[in-house]
Amino acid sequence: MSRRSNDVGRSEPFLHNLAKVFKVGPKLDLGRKHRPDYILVVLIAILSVIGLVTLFSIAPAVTAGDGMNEFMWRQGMFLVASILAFVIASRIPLDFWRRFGVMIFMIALIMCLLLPIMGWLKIPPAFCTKGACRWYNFGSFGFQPAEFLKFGMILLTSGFLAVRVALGEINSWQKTLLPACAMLMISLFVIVIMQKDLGTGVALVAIFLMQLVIAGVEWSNLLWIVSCIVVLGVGSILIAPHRLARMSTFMGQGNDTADYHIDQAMIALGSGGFSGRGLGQSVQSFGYLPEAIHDSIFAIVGEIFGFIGLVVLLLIFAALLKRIIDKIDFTENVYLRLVAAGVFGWLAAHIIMNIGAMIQILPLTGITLPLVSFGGTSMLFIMASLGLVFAISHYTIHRKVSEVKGVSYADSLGGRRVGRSYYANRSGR
Amino acid sequence: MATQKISRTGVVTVGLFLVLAVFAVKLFSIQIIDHDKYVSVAEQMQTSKFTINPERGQIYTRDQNGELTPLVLNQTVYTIFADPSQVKNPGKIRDVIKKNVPDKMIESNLTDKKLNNKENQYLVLARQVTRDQVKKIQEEDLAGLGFQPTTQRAYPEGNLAAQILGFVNTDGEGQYGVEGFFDDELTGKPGLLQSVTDVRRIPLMIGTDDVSIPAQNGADYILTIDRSIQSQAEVILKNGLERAGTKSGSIIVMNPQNGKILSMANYPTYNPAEFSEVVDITNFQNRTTSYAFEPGSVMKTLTTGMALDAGVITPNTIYHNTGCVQIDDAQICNASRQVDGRDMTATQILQWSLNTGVVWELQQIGNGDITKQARQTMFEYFANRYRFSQKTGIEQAGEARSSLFSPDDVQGGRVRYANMTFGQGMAVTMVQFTAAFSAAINGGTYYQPTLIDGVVDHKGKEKTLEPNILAQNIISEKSSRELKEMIYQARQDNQPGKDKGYYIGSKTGTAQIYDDATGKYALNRTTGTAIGFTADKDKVPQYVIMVRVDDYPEEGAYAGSRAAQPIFDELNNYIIQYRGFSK
Repeated sequence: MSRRSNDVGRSEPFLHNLAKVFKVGPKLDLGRKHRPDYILVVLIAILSVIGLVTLFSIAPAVTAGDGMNEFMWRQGMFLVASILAFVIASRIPLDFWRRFGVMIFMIALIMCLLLPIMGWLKIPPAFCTKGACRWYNFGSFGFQPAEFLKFGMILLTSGFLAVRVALGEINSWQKTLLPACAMLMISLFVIVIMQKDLGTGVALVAIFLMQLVIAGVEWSNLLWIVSCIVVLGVGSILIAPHRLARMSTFMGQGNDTADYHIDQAMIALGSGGFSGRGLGQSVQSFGYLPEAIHDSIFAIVGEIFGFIGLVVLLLIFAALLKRIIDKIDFTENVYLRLVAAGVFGWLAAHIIMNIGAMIQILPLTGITLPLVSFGGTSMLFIMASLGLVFAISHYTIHRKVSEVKGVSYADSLGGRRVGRSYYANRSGR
Repeated sequence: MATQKISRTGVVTVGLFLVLAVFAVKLFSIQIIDHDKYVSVAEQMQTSKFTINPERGQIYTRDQNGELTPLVLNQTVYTIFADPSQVKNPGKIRDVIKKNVPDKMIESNLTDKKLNNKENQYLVLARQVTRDQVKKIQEEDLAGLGFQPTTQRAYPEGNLAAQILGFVNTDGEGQYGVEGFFDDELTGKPGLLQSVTDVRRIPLMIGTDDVSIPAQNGADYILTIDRSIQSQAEVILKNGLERAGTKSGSIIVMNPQNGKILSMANYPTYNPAEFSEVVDITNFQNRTTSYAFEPGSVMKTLTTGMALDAGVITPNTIYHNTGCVQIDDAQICNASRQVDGRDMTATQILQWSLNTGVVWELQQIGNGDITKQARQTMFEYFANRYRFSQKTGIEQAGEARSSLFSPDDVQGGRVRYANMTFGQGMAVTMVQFTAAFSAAINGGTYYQPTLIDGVVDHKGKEKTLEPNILAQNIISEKSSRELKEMIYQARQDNQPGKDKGYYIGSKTGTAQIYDDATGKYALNRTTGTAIGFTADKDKVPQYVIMVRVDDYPEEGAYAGSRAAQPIFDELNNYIIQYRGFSK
């Protein structure tokens, strides 16, 4: 499995290499900085505007007439916080993330672990409902550490896998795949078992798998890993009653609450028709459809803007995701490629799981629609992760990495500067 | 490893776009293909219909000054209930209920056991509690008590005019009287609100198919009833019946110049606020309109009116009283045989109430015999001019039909028509008879008898109803004047000096009661009647009073004079005083 490791010609001990990557390693060799991908920002802005317009269109419904000002103020704060998260994440030198990725992940993990303990001890900020502790409650704002954990997970696995790629040991079960899977399992245990949040678990798996794919893990190894995750996934569904209920809803036989949620989403979509009911004409937001401004916003967009609106929305999502794929394709540095891959996995998982549930193709898992579902920790960290992608877009090259002759993944760690001449200087790519 | 043969990002991209394409197809199916289905599902779920209940119309009458006085109002009362699952202090609840509404509580539900039964959520503690009482109980701030408002009819005048008013049953339907007759008009029209609502059924401003039809409250009715006369009539009737030893009877007072009913009194009566406690449903009936009976000798007035109008007699035409007369197989005799063999004027026929006299009047129409032509003439007068063949249309539920045989009927033979001249062998209601009598003495104008003076519609617009003339010259003006004078004269000759100069005319009657069981007229059960008018100094009749006393137990022809006449006189004296008549 590690037969190619010799190609790179390096064999430093594992720990030494880790130290090199995270602490004392040389700065990322980024090449020349050029104009970033502003189209990415435009797409993010369009999605946020769609979210905002939908939100304010149904504001009278979700605030029940009073508290409009407070609601507006709150959403304004979320918007400002999200933009700040994007700007800060995009301004911080990329090397920072590589150096402190492990620490960030550890902070996130500790926050996740503290939550059920504090909840059990009934220490105030921890907020528990229905036997699951998912939130820290600070007055009118909540903080969901699981979203932070996804962000940390991207940094952690990117850093780790980049080293393994550099060492040519990416397909080593012993040195790479099993340790990486162990990192995933720790996160999944915290999220799925302790917090009973299958949606976030799916997103974590998607981030992880996307990174493995881009890191160059052989398809056969991927198949093994996916199989294991599926077995574990089925197991976790069987031991948690509420998940079983959601599954049986999806299979068409079951529990009233989830049934009701999906029925109402379908009514919102179906009654929207071709061109939608129009702004301010949403009825389903008046208490019929649960989570109208968060997890169910897609159905409300469909009710207001109709099939046309949703197709446009899907196209914008497709464009955004393609834009991130391009960053993978046109970035030489493996670490950055893996970060972009993680962000892609995150967004794609949310988009597919959220929309799939609303249109009764996938079971309901309760995760947000990126950028359109307004507010919350999810929006904050998705914007931060997109800030990372935006930062990466400063350093893309002209031709696809796979087409650049002589470029190997290892080179990004090595000192040789093969393919320098292909660095872009103007392109947004 | 170094260079990918198949671009991995390409695989991911294709996979992603495939998924999004599937989503788009599914969305097409939901939003385009199944659009209509979801629209109808949405409409059904999001649209609510609310019925707005109209307020039932109220019933008024006028007092002497023309001001409206309420007879029937709507009143909000409360049912007090406990939710035992929320009750904290059953002892306090029991004390508060017992202290504030001892007459309305349901004591059997005030036990600790029932108030502590946490399985139950609805336990009625008291009914028909007024708003003030509810306020006092609410001040105690007791956990687990609830107050449910309902609207019910209230009767500020108690039993007054109970049969005229009728009542509203527990289903909200008007029964008997005005409530029954004008049930639809009093009920009004319920409004409809159809609107898209939120999940808690609160209407939204969204949607174009909203329907908003306001409720149309029921009309208010103003009765022609004179509150004082009605009240006095009820008292006088009750006392008069007790004196006579009978159980039931009725009075009707009508203005002969416009058909307006001033009073309809019935005994026994009931309290409409407690209609559910009435055992005998005949108590609900306004027996001046719902009961057709053989009126007896009071009919001689109308027979005389017919004979005058037919030109076969004048007030002074002489009739030789034979005491009895043979008609086919029946012998008809007079009740009073004191004046047998004497020559009597037509006026004296009324004074002595001679059966043979009125039979003679009918025979005069047939040139000495009760010919088919004579009977046809009489039928024309009774059926069409006195309008005994049809209901009067008085605004009361359940007006009875009269019973009148035409000469073409097998039953309409000579004996029947001979009997009809003195009010036997036919049945009419008091309101029919009073209306016909009024027309016969007012100059010949038949006014539709009415209880309704005005209507206030749902917009608050008041409409005063004009007298409705159904026929004029039912008998000629001259015949009417002569008849009025004859009735006046007959009364004065019977009771000289009694009326102290007032222009009062009256006639009594005692009718034998046909017993359905035996098929014969009972000898010891009679109906006593009295009808009469009082006129002003210009001899214009101001009101007509008719009294009926049922089942007078004495044998002989005294029910009219001994039971009905005193009631007539007592009420008449009261009205003369009350109206402040000049002679």
